[in-house]
Amino acid sequence: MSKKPTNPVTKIFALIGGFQVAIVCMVLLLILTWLSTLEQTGPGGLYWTLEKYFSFGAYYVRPTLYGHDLPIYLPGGYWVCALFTLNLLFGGVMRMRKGWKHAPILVSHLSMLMLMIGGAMTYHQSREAYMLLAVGETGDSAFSLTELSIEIAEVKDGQKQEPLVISSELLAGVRGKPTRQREFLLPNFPFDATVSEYHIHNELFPVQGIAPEGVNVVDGYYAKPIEPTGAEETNLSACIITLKERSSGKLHKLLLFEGVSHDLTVTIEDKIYGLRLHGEIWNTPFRVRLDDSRGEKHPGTGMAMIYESDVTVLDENGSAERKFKIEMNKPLRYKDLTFYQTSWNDAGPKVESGFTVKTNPSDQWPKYAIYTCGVALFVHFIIKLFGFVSNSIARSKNEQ
Amino acid sequence: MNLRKLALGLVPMIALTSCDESTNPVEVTETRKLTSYDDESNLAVAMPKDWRRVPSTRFRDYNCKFNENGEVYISIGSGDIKSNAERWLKQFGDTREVVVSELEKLDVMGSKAVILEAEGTFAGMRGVTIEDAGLLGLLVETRGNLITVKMIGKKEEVQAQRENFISFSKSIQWK
Repeated sequence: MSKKPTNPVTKIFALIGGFQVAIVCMVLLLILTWLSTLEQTGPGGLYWTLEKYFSFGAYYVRPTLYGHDLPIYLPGGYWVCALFTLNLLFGGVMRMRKGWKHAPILVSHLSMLMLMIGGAMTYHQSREAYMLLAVGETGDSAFSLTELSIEIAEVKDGQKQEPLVISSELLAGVRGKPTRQREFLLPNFPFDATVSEYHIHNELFPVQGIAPEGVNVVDGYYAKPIEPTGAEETNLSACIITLKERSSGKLHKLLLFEGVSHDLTVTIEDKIYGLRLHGEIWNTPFRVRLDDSRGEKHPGTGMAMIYESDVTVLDENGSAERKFKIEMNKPLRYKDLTFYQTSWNDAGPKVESGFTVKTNPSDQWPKYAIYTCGVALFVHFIIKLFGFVSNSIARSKNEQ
Repeated sequence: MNLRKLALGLVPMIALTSCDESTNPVEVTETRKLTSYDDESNLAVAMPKDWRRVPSTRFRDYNCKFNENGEVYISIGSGDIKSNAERWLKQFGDTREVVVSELEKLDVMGSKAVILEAEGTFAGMRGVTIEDAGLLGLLVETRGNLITVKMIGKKEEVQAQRENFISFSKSIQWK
């Protein structure tokens, strides 16, 4: 039996790396996964359920089951995973007995540690966006369906200039919190901006006659907040952005609505500026041309059953670099980007393929971790089996 | 024993990390390069600085405002110049027949466009009525479409925007 630690630091290491903590973490993760799986089928939908249960900001969770809030609070999944990672590090790696007999177990713990760190990297480092191409079209950017930014660009002679981006990260503090506002200082422009009344899902109306009571009419339009849908990508956000000229203090108010597919403009100090609220745009490091797209739909439905696309990756000059065939579960991996085909539509004049474009530094880590863990456990079981058989033979010889 | 300590340890950890997302003022300098995503329309237009672009609607492909309530918008539709011009005049209570050849001409999008003007009380689609209103309209048939530019507002304001209207209309191009 191991002796009990007396040093306070060692005690903390021992506590966090303890077997009990491992059990509690795994049980909590099981419960959180089970409850979130049930909850994501409800009105909250997948996006908001993941945010509620597993986001960095979710320190605790009150689960909802079949529309009823349960009278319990659970720690957030992100923090349980963080504790479990420390537990694996302290208990499964640092405090573990060393020696070649224990090497496979050490490797399996290390691979699980790699899995957890890979999960954290995916959460913090991965980016996901969407690229929609009709056959013959070439794409050089993808846009997020869930993370919205506000862009402000000068318009010179009808030509939009490089836009300034107020990212979704900076807008997170006001998004869905209409009573809050945040000021953005814009040194590249002669004005600063304040974002307020940011509702997640809205309908936009032009004022017809007299506007309804209580609505904020901006330039003949108002946004009416409605209950967000579970599918976050179908929500249409709206916010008020107020531009304040630094020289004169003059205010310009605009109503930005995600459903508007062009910039709204304002003229300040004799220059036109375009503003827009939409999914964050991500310039891809190479261009992709959709050469052909094939698919089949479930009979009697508009849902795609199978699909595949032929694409060509183009360099900066538009010359073909490589050709790929993207199929379901066979994405295109090229220059740290992964293209999964996630939609197919032949209803329009041209067949369209939709691709989820993802960058994830730890993309393949789960696969490697699981393979490594599997091999390590197999070796461990073989060693144990060999030991058991050897002991059994020795015991039976002794008995004879 | 260990579980109790763990529970006690979690409380300060949660308290320490439970500060809210920031709403403090922040400086923004991040930019991105233009992409094909920024080509939002099949028309290229140079809008006057006095105007501002507002949300497009079903029948207003490029929708602008000037002064407080003045409106000017481009519609890409179908039909012929004559019937559309007569419909516009009807909104001013004018039921006379339009003779297209007699209307003022302007070269727009490589075709001959006609300009239509009217004054009076405007009764619009959304039940909007404007007294002392003015109309400045342009209609042109191009590539099988009827492109119209329609400016509605107070008579004096519309007159004051005539130069802007002409330069705006001349700037319209297919992409």
